[in-house]
Amino acid sequence: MKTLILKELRENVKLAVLGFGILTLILVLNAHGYSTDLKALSGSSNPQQRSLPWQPLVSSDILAITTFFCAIFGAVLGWFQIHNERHRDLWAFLIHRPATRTEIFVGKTIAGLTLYVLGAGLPLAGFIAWALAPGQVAAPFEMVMLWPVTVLFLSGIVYYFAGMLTGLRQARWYVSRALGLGLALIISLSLREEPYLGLALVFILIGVIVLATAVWGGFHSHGFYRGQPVPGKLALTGALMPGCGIVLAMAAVMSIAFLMRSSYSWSRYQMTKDGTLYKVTQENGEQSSVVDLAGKPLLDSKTGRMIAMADFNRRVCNPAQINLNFGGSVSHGRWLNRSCDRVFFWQATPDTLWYYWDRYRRLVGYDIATRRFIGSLGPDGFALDVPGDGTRFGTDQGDYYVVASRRIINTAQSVYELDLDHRTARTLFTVTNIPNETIGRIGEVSLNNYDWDYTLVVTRHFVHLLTPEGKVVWRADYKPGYPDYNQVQVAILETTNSFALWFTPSRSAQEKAGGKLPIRVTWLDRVQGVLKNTDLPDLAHYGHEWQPQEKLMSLSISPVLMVVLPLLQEHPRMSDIPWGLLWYSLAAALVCLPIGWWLGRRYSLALPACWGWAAFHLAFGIPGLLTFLCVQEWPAREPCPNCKKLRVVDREQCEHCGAGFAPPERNGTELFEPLVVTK
Amino acid sequence: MTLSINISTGSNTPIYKQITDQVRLAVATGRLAVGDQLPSVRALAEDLVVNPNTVARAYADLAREGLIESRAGRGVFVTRKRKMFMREEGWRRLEPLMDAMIGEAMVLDFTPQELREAFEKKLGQWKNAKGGE
Amino acid sequence: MNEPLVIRTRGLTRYFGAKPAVHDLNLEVPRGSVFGFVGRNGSGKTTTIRMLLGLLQPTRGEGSVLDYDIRALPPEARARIGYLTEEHQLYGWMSVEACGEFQSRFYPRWNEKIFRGVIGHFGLKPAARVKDLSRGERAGLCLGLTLAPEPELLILDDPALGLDPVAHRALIESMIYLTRRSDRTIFFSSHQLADVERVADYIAVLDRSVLRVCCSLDTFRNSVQQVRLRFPGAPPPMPKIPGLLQAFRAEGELRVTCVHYNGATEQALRALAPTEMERVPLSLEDAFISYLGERGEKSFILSETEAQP
Repeated sequence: MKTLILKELRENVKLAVLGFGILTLILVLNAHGYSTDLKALSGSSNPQQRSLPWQPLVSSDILAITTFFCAIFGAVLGWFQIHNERHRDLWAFLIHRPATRTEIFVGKTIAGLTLYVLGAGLPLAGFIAWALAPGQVAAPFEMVMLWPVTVLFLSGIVYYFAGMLTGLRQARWYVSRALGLGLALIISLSLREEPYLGLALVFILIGVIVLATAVWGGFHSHGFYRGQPVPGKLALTGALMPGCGIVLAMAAVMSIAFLMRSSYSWSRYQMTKDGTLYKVTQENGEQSSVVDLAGKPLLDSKTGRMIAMADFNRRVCNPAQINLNFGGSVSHGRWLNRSCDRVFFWQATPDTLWYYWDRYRRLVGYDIATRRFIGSLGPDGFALDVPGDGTRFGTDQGDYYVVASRRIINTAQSVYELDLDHRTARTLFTVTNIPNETIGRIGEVSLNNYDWDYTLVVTRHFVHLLTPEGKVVWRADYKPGYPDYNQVQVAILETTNSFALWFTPSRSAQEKAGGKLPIRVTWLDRVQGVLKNTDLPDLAHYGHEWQPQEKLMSLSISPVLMVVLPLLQEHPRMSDIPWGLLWYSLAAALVCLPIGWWLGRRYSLALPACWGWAAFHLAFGIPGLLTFLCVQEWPAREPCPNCKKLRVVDREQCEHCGAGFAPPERNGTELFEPLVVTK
Repeated sequence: MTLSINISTGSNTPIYKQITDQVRLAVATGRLAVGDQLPSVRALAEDLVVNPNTVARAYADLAREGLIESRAGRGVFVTRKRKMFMREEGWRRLEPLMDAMIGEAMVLDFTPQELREAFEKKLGQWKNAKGGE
Repeated sequence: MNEPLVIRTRGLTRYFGAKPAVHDLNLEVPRGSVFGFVGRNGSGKTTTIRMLLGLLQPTRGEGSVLDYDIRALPPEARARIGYLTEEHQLYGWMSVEACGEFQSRFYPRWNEKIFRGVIGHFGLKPAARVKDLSRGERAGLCLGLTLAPEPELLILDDPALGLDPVAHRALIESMIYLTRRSDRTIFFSSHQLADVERVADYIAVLDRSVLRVCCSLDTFRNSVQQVRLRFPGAPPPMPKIPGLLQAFRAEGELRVTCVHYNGATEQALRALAPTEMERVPLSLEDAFISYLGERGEKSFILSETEAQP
């Protein structure tokens, strides 16, 4: 086996070196670009923030590079290892030696994976080393930030085996050969959505096991389905099924989009700058209609017709919106976000980059020139280190901190204004001393989206509006309160010099109430307080009514997937399963079942195999039937010499009458003699 | 022992028969004398690049005719030719050769007298070569 | 293990699509023989060989090689079987020496002298790369790699294909050399009838996926006979003769080639009243070509007056 490994290494080393070179080049360019952009920052007061990947290890650029490179490199490497022996005589040379197929498979795989690790892993490791070296990356680092790149690197192994399978498959059409990549693709896509890191790793492991077993089986029969050991057949079926599912889903989406028009309509409330409420409705992508609460349409004074949305949008006020979450940890729901979103870029001063570091809930600063950590800023001021037990921003519930502005920040009790040039935090506001009173969220309110006109502070009991200096302009009760109402909006009404305040119910509370909870709108001004209250019926749609497109689409999705996929989230609930659509999916599966059964009996597949396929069709529906057609090899059929019915040629006994096969016709020129055993 | 046998494939004569014919000719022309050793089956097979069974069969036929014999441990030798051929068999073999020679001579416009003289001359040459028999 | 039959198949069949490439093959190859496997292109020879080596699954039927089931040849079986493919394919980037190194590590029994001997015989330099070798040189290298493990059974698929005369001769010499060991068997398919004539003990003939001949070479040769009948004018139509291979009509003569020529055949031919009837000795090549060629009547129009029958 060692000989085989060495031979495979030698044979494919060029490809690995090429990959190594390409990835190294890309990563070096990326690192260099980071350095250049960083250098361009120092001294400028208004940096172009969007371009810089603040922590390269988790930047979307690097994640995209890693994803694509590892997938392509892995697949090409695997495919090439099989392609080297594409000539059937060279394959015979490889196979016909005193070694089992398994040994040959393992030898090839060890070599291929070694090359993969060298070609993709070494450059990535080098990149990580660069990012971790002090004085290179001016951003905080946590160990969990290594997971995204690592997981994506590991997902390349799935593509490696998928590439091998593509090379092995004897199928006639190339699409059919490449179906194995479908599984790899699905796993790649799902990695972003997994709630837990462990689940992502399990998916990768499943993908590797299924595809590797399919390749192992393919080694026994050179890619054919017949002649493989049973685990290989099962794995091959499993490996090709996602690909069939993808192809079918794409076909369904395209035909549905082509054939059907989706009908939808939605309405929402909008308030103009003078405080008047309007209802904006849009149906099927046509012109939106704007009517007031009495139902009278708002007409354009010049044309006499419905006002154009562009004109209307100019009249609309600009509310600041805050979503509250007082209890329980707000998790992102995805491991990838948990790994990447540990640190938020806060602001850049001329010589320092400031980040909000969720781990410590303080701001940390990195010097742009030296790229080193210089200290942290908390409610109690600046410190040269990151004190683990120092005071922190945010609340004890564990916030996922998102603030539109970069000037203010809060703790549970107080709001602070940050002066990053002087590295101070000034208390602007503290909540009143009532039991259970904590700050939920804060935000900036402005007329035009960049001025800081007011500060909005929503606590458990109140909604406060403050001036930028911290003086309270007004305070309203947070009623209707949390948790049913979790969204608060405040807008400045320019024309009347007053304010509007909305309370919107949460989606789950609204669903429970059947859509009956109203939206509360309050008008108030700084002198008189609350001027007017009104309750508006919620306009959003609740309850599940499935569109015809969705019903049609669900015919092409496996029932098993419809049940399992919605449960793969952080807090799965049985109601997440689309029961209404599931019936359509099952109906399609029930149609596939007899078709599959009939095909199986017609071609005289073994009875246990027929039962297995029947269960498979029931579980996987039309994609399952497609996989069955792709994977199974269909024997020819000939008339039986005895009973004259068509029978398959790969069984010794006729499935109808049990007769054997007639020997080929003699034509009188046969020459047979018993051979003498010589010497 | 200068036995050079050449066989050719694609001929109307089987290979084993080509070997027996050439050995017989060699004995008849004196290139092989009684008591000369023939190459072993294996050696001849490798020399001619043919299956040893073919050579073995040729040797077996020759042995049956009494032309050669195999002495255990020592090899294959030419023996005194026992007159196992019946005269008729011999004439039957000679007849077509005579037809061929006479026919050819006629075509070439030789007279029977010239032919007879040439034939006597040839016989004389052979007698001299073999030292009389 | 000294099984008398090194290769045995029963009803071995392989379909490609709806048509059989090998149809119900019953083959028996005795140990120690040189067995020639003959047939036209596309008659199923390579398919048979690939099935025997477990490289292709049969559609139905069974076979055994050295008493191992062909559907599951274990490594110890493969160690005893040598296989030379048609195309003599090897890894282009390997050198001759490296190929030998590579192979030798796999086989428990590797005779380096044989390898060097064959390499030398074909005039190969150890440092030459496979991609720089000519076809004949590659064949020599493959032969060396195949013979060095001293396999009991040697399976050669059209080994002389594309070889120059010198390499060709070296190949046949190697095959003869192998027959030194009485327990070694050679099973080879070939179009080179001269080779078959030289080295084969037995032959099997595949005629369009069906085995029609399995006998010794001499039996085949003696069985295929050609008779020439002369007629004063145009030859009469051919009667039905069992075992007829070909009947060739020319001006004033009819040449009939058939197998199993017996008294009944002679009578049927005499009934045509020819002026002359004589046996024509056939070379092995002619016998094969008659056997494998188009069956039935053929004619050669020599003058406008001769009409097609």
